[in-house]
Amino acid sequence: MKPSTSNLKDRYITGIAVCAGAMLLAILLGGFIPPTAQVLLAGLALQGMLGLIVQLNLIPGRDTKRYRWAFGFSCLVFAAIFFGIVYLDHVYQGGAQLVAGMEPATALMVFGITLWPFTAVSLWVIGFQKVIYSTQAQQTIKSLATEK
Amino acid sequence: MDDRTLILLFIAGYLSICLGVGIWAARRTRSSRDFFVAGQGIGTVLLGFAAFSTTMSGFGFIGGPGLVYKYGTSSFWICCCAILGFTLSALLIGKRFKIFSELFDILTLPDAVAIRYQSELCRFLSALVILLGVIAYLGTNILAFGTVASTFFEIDFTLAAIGGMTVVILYAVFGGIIAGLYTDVIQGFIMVFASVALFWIAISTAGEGQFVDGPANLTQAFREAELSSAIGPWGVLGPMACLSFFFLFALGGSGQPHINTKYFMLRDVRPVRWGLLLCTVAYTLCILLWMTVGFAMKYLVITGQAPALVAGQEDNAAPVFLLNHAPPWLAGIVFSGLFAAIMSTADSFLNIGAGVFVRDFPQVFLRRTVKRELFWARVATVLLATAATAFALWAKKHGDLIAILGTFGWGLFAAAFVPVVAIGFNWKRATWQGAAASTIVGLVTNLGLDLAGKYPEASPLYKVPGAVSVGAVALLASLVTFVAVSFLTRPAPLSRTLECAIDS
Repeated sequence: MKPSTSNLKDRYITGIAVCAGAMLLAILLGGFIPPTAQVLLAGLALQGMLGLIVQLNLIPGRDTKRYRWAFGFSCLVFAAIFFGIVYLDHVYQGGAQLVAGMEPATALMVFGITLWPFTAVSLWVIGFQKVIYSTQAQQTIKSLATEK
Repeated sequence: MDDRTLILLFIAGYLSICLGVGIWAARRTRSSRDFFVAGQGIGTVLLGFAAFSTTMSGFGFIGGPGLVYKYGTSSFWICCCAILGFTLSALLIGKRFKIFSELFDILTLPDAVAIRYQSELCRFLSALVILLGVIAYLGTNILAFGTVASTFFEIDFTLAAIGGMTVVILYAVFGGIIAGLYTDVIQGFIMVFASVALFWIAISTAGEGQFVDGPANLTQAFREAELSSAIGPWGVLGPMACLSFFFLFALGGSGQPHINTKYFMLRDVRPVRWGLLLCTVAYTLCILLWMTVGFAMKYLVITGQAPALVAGQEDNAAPVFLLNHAPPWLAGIVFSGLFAAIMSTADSFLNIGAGVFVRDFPQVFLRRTVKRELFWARVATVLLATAATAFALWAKKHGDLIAILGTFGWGLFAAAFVPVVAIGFNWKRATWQGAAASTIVGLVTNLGLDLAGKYPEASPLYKVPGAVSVGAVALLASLVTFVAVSFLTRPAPLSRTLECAIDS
């Protein structure tokens, strides 16, 4: 049996809280765990939170599956960008090739973190009436507002 | 005509336009609904520009380059996540607030919180947080204004700060949020133009075109000066600090009342869809200034082409660069843009703060609204501006950088409102006990950690490890508290209308 919307949201919210707790732990344990482990734990928790938050307000259902997958894919790529920054910074040797005058990790941060979210903006604009605020929902709200 | 006179003419022209808009808006402001939510009649352009102008405040124009000068790329994690932040804010709050404003009588954010949780305690706590955050954030903008004006006009800082606030008060008091919104559009255009122009000047003239490329480019210069950490992806502060900034400014945007209350003002749902695109494109252009001017100034210092900025006055990076390296007509426009950024945020905060005194506190303590709401809203605006100016002057004496104060204000709102508003308005299971607990935890953690990290001055009580932002810790703590307490308490039954508002 498919979980109801309420149960699904409860699960998303619980996931967000667990990720928040993990990130808080990573911060407060600074000095007690290796720095790389700390950064990876905090980064994973952060990306987990963002991914769940993005899914929170998307209309569920078969008709909107494609859009929800697209949003999910966008989040995955964003997480990959973040871990790419960690990796490139770790392997960078001074004097190596620069990208747009910057170290590769810095360039990925500047362009990736700033510009990749425009994919989500595009999905928002294109899929607004399908996956964010359907025409049916708008009519329901209008009729309730008239009753008020 | 000398350079300073030309710049002054531009600034005077811009300030006159603001006052003119204030007078025009005053004629359209006939009720408290007009004063606080612009009569619920704004469209895409006003929403898009208002959201981005209010966010790109003095914090972004002055504090940002100052932080870059001091900490390198660490501060990029504040501005780079802005697009993500606006998107999350739209996803969590955009349609939700529009729906709430259609179904319920809402003029302020605490109004909405009281309706959602059916709790006057939650209204009171929200109002209290807004008051504290507004004073801190207004203080940031007054400091920014004072810094720019005193640097440029070579006048006393106090005089500059008071002068700036006087202009803001004049158009905010009479025109309310309508004045604020329309000046936001003018200010937005100026800010975008100023940012792109100054970005171009920074990369073209600093190092005679070698800023980005060439044998003496930025990266090379920083390496030779043994400042490699400043140009790596984490900057001087390190990865945990950067992650905390990223988290706080990406998710924290959903809790900023000066941004999210704009959704109460919409005439219909279309601006929710298109406003995000407009806002994000405009903001992306504006962060070009944040990213380049601080580095350009530092580059000039380490290559011996400019004297170093005094420690504790890194906020002068943008004004000093502008005065010494931009043509006067551009400097005039950019200074107008700087003042625009500061004033657009200041008037939003004044409006929000006035709502607390005029609408929310009377509801909590007197269980009714005041008579002559519009008159008292104007009085409250003046009193709040005076209190914020006094706070800013006090903060200046204690050496707080603009961006540090701004981070505190942002963090306070984020910790108090992200769980309560961004999560709670989308989750039926959220309870008033969870909302109250998380607001208190957010407030106490933010203030407590901020004070513990500064006092006693000789040996502070406790500093969060890894230079992690206090606001991020407070937001995480309040998120966990909100969810845990909500699950542990029983949700109140919701009316059909409220359920529909949350579920749609």
